[in-house]
Amino acid sequence: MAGYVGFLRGTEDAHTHLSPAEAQRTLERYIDWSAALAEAGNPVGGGGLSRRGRVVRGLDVTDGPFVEGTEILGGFLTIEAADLDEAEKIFSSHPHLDFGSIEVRKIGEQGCEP
Amino acid sequence: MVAGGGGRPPAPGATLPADTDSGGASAGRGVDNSRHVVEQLFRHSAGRITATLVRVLGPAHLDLAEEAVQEAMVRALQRWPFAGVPDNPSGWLFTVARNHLLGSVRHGEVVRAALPLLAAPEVVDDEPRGDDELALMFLCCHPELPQVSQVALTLRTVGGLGVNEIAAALLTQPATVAQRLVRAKRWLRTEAVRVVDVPAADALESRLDSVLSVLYLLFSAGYDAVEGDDVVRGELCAEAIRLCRLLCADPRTDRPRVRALLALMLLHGSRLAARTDAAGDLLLLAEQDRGRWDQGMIAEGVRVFGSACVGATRSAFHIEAAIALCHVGVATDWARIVGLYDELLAVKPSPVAALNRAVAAAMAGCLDPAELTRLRDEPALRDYHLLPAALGALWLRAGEPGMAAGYFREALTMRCSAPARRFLQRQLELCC
Repeated sequence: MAGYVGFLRGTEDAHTHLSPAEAQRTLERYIDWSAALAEAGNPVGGGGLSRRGRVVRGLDVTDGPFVEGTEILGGFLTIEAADLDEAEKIFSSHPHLDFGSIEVRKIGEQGCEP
Repeated sequence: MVAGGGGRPPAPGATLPADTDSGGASAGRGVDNSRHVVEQLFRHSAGRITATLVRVLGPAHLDLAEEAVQEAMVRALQRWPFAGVPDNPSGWLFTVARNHLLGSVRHGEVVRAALPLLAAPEVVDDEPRGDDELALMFLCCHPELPQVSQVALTLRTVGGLGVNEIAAALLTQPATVAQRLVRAKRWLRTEAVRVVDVPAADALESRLDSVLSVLYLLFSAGYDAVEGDDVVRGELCAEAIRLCRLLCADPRTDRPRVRALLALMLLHGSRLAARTDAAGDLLLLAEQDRGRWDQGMIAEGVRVFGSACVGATRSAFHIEAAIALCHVGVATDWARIVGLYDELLAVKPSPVAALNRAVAAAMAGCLDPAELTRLRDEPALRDYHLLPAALGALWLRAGEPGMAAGYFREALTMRCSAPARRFLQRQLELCC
């Protein structure tokens, strides 16, 4: 088993059209997804990310954004999976996919793997 | 389905983010999923936060308040799934909404002048005040607004429902609801209303009647029409009950007729889940499974009605609650119901009440045929499918299925909801 991280991306206004009840239902679906995974024994973790930040590039420090256009990186989730295929499969049921994309990467890649 | 009161999360020990960009679990730490989001938290918080912000900013800036609330919910969506639900979620939402307003630079003079008020400690420390919601309710039900707009605006701002949900609940198009809201907000921006508060004593009684009419309509919209999303309709009834409770809880608006309306809604609401069968078809009172009636709501309704019967006034709500009380009893006393309808017709005449009286009279065995003829000539009932439906039911009871079938067929030619249509079909089959 290896650790995988999923970066949850979306546009700035992806959630702004939701009514309060819809927003809460969406939130509950996000939380339930992690809860179900944790219940199945997968040590799911993650963190929210601040909206603003700085980009350090040599001596030149600029404010974000780091990604193109109005797309924002809202947060990330870490899971365990046998390989990238399984990690992709796990993330493919995440409710965030109704609003944006998830970029899945392996954590701790040595670089010399086949 | 109909639940009372908004769950207010515990306030003590709240950790509010001073800077909304801070917080978040560190990588690798397990996400805390043990805390569940309080039911209806967002909807109720949206109403309360909007109410407080509108009090501070003034009714002309309802849009800004709504935008701030929206921002707080979006932030929660982007944070809570990773960081866990904060200890005081509604306080968190309020702080984020307030900080969003304080941090925004494009405000006009009026808003800038109000900002120090928003930053005042009493606004920060507390959750939004309950009486702010009351004041917002009076604003939304302002008699200078058309009543359809009062209903939409109340649902949007105090009830925290979205345009699509309001349209589904009121069986109209989302575009129509949106247009009513835009017009209502435009009116709010005129100088007509400056202060958001519970009206002063001289205007209170008539303004309170406007609010009660809207709550009655809200409840009826949820209760009567069987089309549309059951969940939304149940929420509509629950929201009307919640708002009526707010009125009862404040000494300034706690009147016997307010309690009577609450009792009426509780007693009817207790039967909401039992009114349709598993297929969503309407059931007659006699066919309903009484085990599915909400006994807690009935008990509360009876208790509230008792507390409403003080003083000299006997409002239409009192009489309707008394009728509702008859229906939840073990055996229905039809003669008493006829007497109550007579009383109701004297206070608040309406063709529908007259029809209900006729049905009750038939059940009590004292129906005057001339009464039905009068109802047939009533223009307001010309397209009302329940009139021929009731006539059909009465003839069926009287052992005249041939006559009954004619009326059921007539009812089927009129506009009614799909479940009502299936109900009429079923009755028609009984006649053949």
